[in-house]
Amino acid sequence: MSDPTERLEDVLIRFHEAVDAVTPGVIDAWISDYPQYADAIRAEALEILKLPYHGGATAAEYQPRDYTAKVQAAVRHATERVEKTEVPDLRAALERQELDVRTFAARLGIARSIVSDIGTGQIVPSTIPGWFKRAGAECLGCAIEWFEAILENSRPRALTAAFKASEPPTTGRARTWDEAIRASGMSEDRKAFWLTGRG
Amino acid sequence: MNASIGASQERLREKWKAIVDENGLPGEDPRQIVAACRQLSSNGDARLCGVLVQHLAARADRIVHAMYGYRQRNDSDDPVAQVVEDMIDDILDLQSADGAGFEKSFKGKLRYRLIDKIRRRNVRQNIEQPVPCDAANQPIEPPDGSSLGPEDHAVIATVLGQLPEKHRLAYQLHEAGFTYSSKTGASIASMLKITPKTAEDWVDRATQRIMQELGRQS
Repeated sequence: MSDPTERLEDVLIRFHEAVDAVTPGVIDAWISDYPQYADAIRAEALEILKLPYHGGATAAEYQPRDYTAKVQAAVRHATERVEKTEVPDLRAALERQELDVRTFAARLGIARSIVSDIGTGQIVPSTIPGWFKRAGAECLGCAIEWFEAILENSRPRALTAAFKASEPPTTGRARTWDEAIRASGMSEDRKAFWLTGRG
Repeated sequence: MNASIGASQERLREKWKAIVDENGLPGEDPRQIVAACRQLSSNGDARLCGVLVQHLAARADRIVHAMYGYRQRNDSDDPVAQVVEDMIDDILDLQSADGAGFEKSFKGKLRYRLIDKIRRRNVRQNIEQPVPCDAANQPIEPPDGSSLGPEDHAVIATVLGQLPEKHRLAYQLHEAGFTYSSKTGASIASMLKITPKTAEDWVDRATQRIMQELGRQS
């Protein structure tokens, strides 16, 4: 069953990855799965058929391009970027991808409260398991190491004192991942999944 | 980064360094190479990362050229180079969702990007497909290929390349098993947004044209 929220570009890229030969069965199957993108899928199939006719040379005449200079410059630039980049917190990272906490949590299949607590530093980052980091990084489309840096950088929000309060507000003790999952409102199956990474 | 992650980074580095030293990159899935490159890039292993990206660039260049019909290189208009160079930048940008996308789809993403480049170029240049016509100003059509040799297929390919684009597409779809029309599934008519009669007409004309050329060559 297709995901109705899947973006057109993602669907078309998977179409290109999966399809070598355009046949009626292939088109029918993809349009059946993604009727909302039927026209785009047909158009993309036609573009695949057109591709070989842009050519004129043969494989024997192929001259590979040298990308050495480009690769060296890109690696240098990437290294400088890593050194200079300020790591956002989770909420800012989601905003950059035009996501909100609710949507991010829904895509991962986890309680919104967990994502919210991670974003405000209410869950100890070192207790967050690898399977969540992998899933979160994949959802954000970034490297796992970058996502870990984002989690580490998610701090409690500054709290303001309530009227007539005699003591400044405190954040309370941050919980471990296990504590947060067990206390959440998720079903037992989902809790088991997020506690063990299996299921 | 904690100690366990540091150790796994080191193992990752050792693994890929060994593969490079044994000249094993061609046997590795390019998606795995992209993933390794992005993880190594975040750890500042620039040299090894550069070797992996260089391999991916060469591989992508071959793949995209094959898709593009091995077009003669034209430095002022080279969508193949644009696609590969964009790929290089995206793979090395750890914040890029496109870069992460190459970990899931290598060939598919390259082809998608190539088609997008060609579409945008055609829009910019307002390119319209020329309509080759015969002496009676009628568009031309292809032949039947039940027992054809290599030379015959070369003739067919040449003829197809000379056809109006939509006629060629109609013929290609017909050869791929699409019917002229269908109430339930994909057809030539639905794919090209034409009537079934027009679809049949275009396929017939393409067939006749190819038969003519094959007749001339024999």
